[in-house]
Amino acid sequence: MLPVLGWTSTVLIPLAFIGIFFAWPVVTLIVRGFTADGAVDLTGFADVFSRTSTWRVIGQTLLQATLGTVGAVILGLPGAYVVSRLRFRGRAALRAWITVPFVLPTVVVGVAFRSLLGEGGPLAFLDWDQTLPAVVWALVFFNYAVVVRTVGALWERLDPRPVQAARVLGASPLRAFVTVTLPQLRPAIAAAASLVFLFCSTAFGIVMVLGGRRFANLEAEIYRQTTQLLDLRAAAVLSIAQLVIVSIALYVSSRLRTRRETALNLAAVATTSRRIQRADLPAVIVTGATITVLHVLPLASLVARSLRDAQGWGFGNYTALATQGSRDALTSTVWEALATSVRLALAATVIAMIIGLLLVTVLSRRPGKPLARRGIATIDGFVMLPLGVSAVTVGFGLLLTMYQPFGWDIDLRSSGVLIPIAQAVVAVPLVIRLVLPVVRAIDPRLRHAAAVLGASPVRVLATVDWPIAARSVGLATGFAMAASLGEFGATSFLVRPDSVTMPVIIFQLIGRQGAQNYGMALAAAVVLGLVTTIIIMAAERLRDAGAGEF
Amino acid sequence: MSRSTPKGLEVIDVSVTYPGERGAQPVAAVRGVSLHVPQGSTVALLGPSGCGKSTLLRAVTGLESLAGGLIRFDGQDLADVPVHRRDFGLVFQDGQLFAHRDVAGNIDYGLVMHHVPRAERVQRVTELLRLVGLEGYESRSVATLSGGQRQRVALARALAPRPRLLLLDEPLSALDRDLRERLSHDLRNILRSTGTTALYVTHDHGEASVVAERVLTMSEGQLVPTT
Repeated sequence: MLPVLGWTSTVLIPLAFIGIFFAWPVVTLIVRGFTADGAVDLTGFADVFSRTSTWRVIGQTLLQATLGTVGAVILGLPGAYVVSRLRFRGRAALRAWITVPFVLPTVVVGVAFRSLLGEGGPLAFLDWDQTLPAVVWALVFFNYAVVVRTVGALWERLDPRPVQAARVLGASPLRAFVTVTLPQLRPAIAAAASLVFLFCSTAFGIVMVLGGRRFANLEAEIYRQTTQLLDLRAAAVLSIAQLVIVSIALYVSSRLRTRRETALNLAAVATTSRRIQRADLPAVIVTGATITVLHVLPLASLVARSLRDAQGWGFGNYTALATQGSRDALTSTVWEALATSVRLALAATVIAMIIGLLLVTVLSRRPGKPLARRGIATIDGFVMLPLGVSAVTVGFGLLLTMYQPFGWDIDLRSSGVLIPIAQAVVAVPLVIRLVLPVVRAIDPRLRHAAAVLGASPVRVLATVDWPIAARSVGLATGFAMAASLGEFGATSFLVRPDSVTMPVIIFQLIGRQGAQNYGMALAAAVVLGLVTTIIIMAAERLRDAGAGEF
Repeated sequence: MSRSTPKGLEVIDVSVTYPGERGAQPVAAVRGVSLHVPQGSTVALLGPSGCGKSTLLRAVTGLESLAGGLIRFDGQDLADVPVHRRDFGLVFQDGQLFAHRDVAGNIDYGLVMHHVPRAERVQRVTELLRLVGLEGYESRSVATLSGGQRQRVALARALAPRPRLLLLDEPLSALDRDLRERLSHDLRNILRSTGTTALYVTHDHGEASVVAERVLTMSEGQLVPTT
């Protein structure tokens, strides 16, 4: 009796959460695009798709995503080799560092690139501010880690001997790589590439800061249609176009994930890495140069310029964080925004962990009944959807549905509780991807052994699953916290003037006139970036070999 | 009397050292080994696991670098010849077949690397499959093969480009006893009939004496003098 009740709520609570705060808003949004005044009406489509600006935006979305993906894969392969096959001092630190840019708030990175490429920046002579190269560079900045991590995780386990067999059979090192290593890595490369494409095509903060109107993608255009032009119909139609692109990328990604690791020669990780030899130098040099140009340059520029104000070097920009900007540009001080951000992110993390862990508990079971198994596979696909569906879509959908939901006489939109909920919706797939592989790897016979020894299902969870998964849960908590702190897409729709978050206030600051406001934006970006980095570095210490990839 | 250079493989006073992990002392895996494999003959290296025999074999292929000594083939010093230009063949204990290629694709691999024309390659693959007793297996996936069949394919793959020297690293050790005995006789016949020069590493005395004309014993990185 009790176990049945326990399992039912374990399944129903998270599904209800995702259903109400994700599926319903998104479906409402889609319906909105297809109907007018309660009847099916496709004129909205005809109207939106007859505008040349629509096609320019779609073209930009696909172009940026393609270039970002190609760049991340080409630069990420040598990086994956270096961190997975070579042994050197500081490898663990390098691995942890590579992850940091991936979770830095998009607005922070956008401001960092602005400080590098924009007026007065060290690379201002390139004239790349508000151009395609700037956007693509920043997209690669984020997604480099996805390729390095995903491909590296497989590369680390490839047996070196097939390559040696090829070498003895007469293949040069390059030939052996192309004919033996690359085919084995192909599933991981393809999976990483489709994930990167997904992230790039739903990028919001970066494009808002760096792209301007000319290089807006679908996300940015949806935001503009909603908040500036108040054309909800057009925004809904564009959201549907975005959903189509995302669904295709998600489908490809999941197909490639299941095909992974079939027919591979795998070896124990310890045996595959070796010291750096002369033949490794090209990969080492490329990786060093990539990290310097890709990551260090923009971040160093951000920090350096945040320490300069009208009076020269100093902490003037940081002391200004206690003000509301010049000519009262802001409705609250930056420190108040930081407090708001931390409070909301903590709430979001708690929600995301509860929902995420309940789902992990369900998804990690392998029941005997085919129906239950199929059910679990369906849930698996369903809960990963928020990973792909853009945050802007989530925020916009919540805005549409949460005014007097279910006929209740409350307007959730103005209550502020939607922000942590939206951030949690975005963070749940992250939690699942980090924890589920670890729990799934637990041999079910361990649980059986505990049960035979007299442990109840709850005791089995507490004494078998928990000790093994605890580290990855800690890691996931850190990631969820960092993602919530930096969340911009959904939050920007839901935020109220009296309680803005850090990413939102930074975005407001760079939009305002005045050198002091710009300086404050730089300083605020450094503060937010630092807080995120500390959280991630602390969480990374908990990562062990078994943890999943993002 | 002129000193004619001996044909075949010469290993002269070879040492191989592994760097120690985290400041530990370097490990001398092979210490001053000299041996000669005359052209067309098979020499077996016998010894317990960890005695350095596999390391020596890998040094001959060029996959390990030497700490001292030299390796010559038909009188030519191989120090500056990279692995892929030595024209040797290598068979691993567990085959190490290319999982993403079928049987023919595996055997074909070395031929492609040696720029053998296509028609000739097809013919050579058929010929080798007949030699190892797997006629008609061309398009089989390597995942469907049994352990013994895999080793036959691995042998065919190594022999296909007609290597000057075939190196076998415990090729039968992963198989069960019956199969091992049967295959060791097959192996000897194949090596003899093709006139292959071969160095055969094993820890099984019976197997060594079946396959090889001469058996050398290794212990703790050195050759044990024959009594």
